Amino acid sequence: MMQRRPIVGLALVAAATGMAVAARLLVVRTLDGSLLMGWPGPTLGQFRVDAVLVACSAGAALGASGAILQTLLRNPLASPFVLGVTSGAGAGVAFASLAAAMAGIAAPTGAALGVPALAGALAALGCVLLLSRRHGALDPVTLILGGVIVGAIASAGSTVAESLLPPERRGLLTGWLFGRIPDVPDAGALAACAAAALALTGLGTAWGNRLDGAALSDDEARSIGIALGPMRTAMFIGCGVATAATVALCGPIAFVGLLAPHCARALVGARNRLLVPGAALAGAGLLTAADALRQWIDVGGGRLPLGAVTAVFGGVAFLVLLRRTAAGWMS
Amino acid sequence: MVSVSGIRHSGVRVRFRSIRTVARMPSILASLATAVLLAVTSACGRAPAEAAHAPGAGSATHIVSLSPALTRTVCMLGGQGAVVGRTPWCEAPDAVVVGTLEDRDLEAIAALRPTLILRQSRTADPALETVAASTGATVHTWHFDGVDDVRSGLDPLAKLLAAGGIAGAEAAARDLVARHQQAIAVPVRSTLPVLFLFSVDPPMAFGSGTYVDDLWRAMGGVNAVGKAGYPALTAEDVIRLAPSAVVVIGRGSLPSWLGSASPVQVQVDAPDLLEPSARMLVDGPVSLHRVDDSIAAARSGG
Repeated sequence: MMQRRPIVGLALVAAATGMAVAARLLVVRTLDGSLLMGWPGPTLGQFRVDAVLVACSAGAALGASGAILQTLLRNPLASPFVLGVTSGAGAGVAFASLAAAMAGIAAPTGAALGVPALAGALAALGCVLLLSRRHGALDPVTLILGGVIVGAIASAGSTVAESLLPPERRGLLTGWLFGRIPDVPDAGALAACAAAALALTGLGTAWGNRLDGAALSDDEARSIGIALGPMRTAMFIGCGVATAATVALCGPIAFVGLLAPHCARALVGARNRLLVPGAALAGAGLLTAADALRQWIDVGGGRLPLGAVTAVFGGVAFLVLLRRTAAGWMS
Repeated sequence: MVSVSGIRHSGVRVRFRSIRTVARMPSILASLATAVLLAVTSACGRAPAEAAHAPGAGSATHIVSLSPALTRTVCMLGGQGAVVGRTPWCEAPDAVVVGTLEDRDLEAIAALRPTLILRQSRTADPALETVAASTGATVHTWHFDGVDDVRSGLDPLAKLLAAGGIAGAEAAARDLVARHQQAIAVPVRSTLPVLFLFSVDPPMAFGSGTYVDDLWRAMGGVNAVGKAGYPALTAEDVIRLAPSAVVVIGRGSLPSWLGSASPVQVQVDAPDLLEPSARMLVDGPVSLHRVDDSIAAARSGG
């Protein structure tokens, strides 16, 4: 029974995610406020399928990244945001928009948006990794500090670029910086994000036992034969690339990478072999549920920004989880 | 004031160097941070330094405008030479940038010694009022959403300018209103619901009570969006609305899914429809008639 419990927990996570997907596919509120249930037909249905694919890919990438980072950094508050990757991607898009405005050409959209986002994300990740390298290895504490610093600089850069944009061009950037599920996702960006999510989840699952060892102190991990350095480097890069792909697809999304691992941990336990896929599933479910909520709630301004929904609901849920699990989150 | 600006520069540099020494940051990050800090501090320090060369320094009325729409309206009323302070988005290149409505530089505004401070908001700004009182200026606040807001704001604004010695402001206001009335008196041919978007990714619409809605309805048109304000939509929302035509105001490529929403799609680069100013009153109807012509041409296959 004790061995079956995590599997049951994983099944529960999968079931919850399935419910979120079904809700997003079948329920929508129209602009006049009425709720419509059922399949809308192929044309409108394609938008919903695309939205689910985007949310599941991005959520899974964020969830898996969050679980791995929390284990590697031995910090329950770690998330892809800590690495500054999201802010770096935002700065990349902001400066690309500014450059387009200065050149008098249209702002980048769709696939073109992914290029500066990825460049900014990878530049931020590179800076953070460069900062945190000590004697050939990555120092977890310096990594967090470096991520915060680089993230702050990148955010300041985004603000400067945004403030210099002419007013008619600010809306697009502001909307993107809120986080969003695109109506028609760029196929390349979606494929890249889905591949990154699958690869990272697979890697985290395959290296589950080594990740468990990484949760111990460096000396303890070394004593049981786990070399943390190369694994940390590979995992940090994997998390960075997966997060960058997510940001290129959806813009910055708050809290999913932080909350999903905690949801999964409560149901499947702290063993990474199941925790990483559980967090990926939970992330997919959370982001899909947030997108579904966004379709149902009307506070007067049309559809809410996705990033605002994840921040508000994710923040409250995280506080509840934190209160319940603070004493033994890795026990 | 120039020396204050210089001290601020030095302080930032010294603090940054000490941080860099302790943390031993790599040169690439240091260069990036220095560039950002210098850009920000130089922008901050520019206003006081340039105050002495501000336009309108010798005239009776010195205007600081914290709203691009108000700046444009002041210029159309003949007060362009009196604008000494503006936001980064105002088209008054000779005036000094003093920040934005939410993030205004009070010291820079005080240094300009304005007589009028104009802003668009629904709330007061006590700190700005205090600065204004100390320099003998008065703060005037409007909120422009619909056409009536702009029209009703024209007369008091013109009176303020006229009282400050800007001759012809009141006549210019009357002329603008007359031209506006003349422009909207010509009805549009498109009487089926039309959707007006100012963004396509995500789709964001001009809803009821907005100035585009007011203009279009005044000319006999029907707005497809009954929701008030500027609602954010999804592609599914747009398709469900089934408008007779989709009008996208602005530049950029149109998404292919718009074809599922309506067979008629019109894109118009009309800055006058992106800002609730006096220019919108006069040029907005002209742009909308251009839109109407395009819709008619698309329907007839032209």
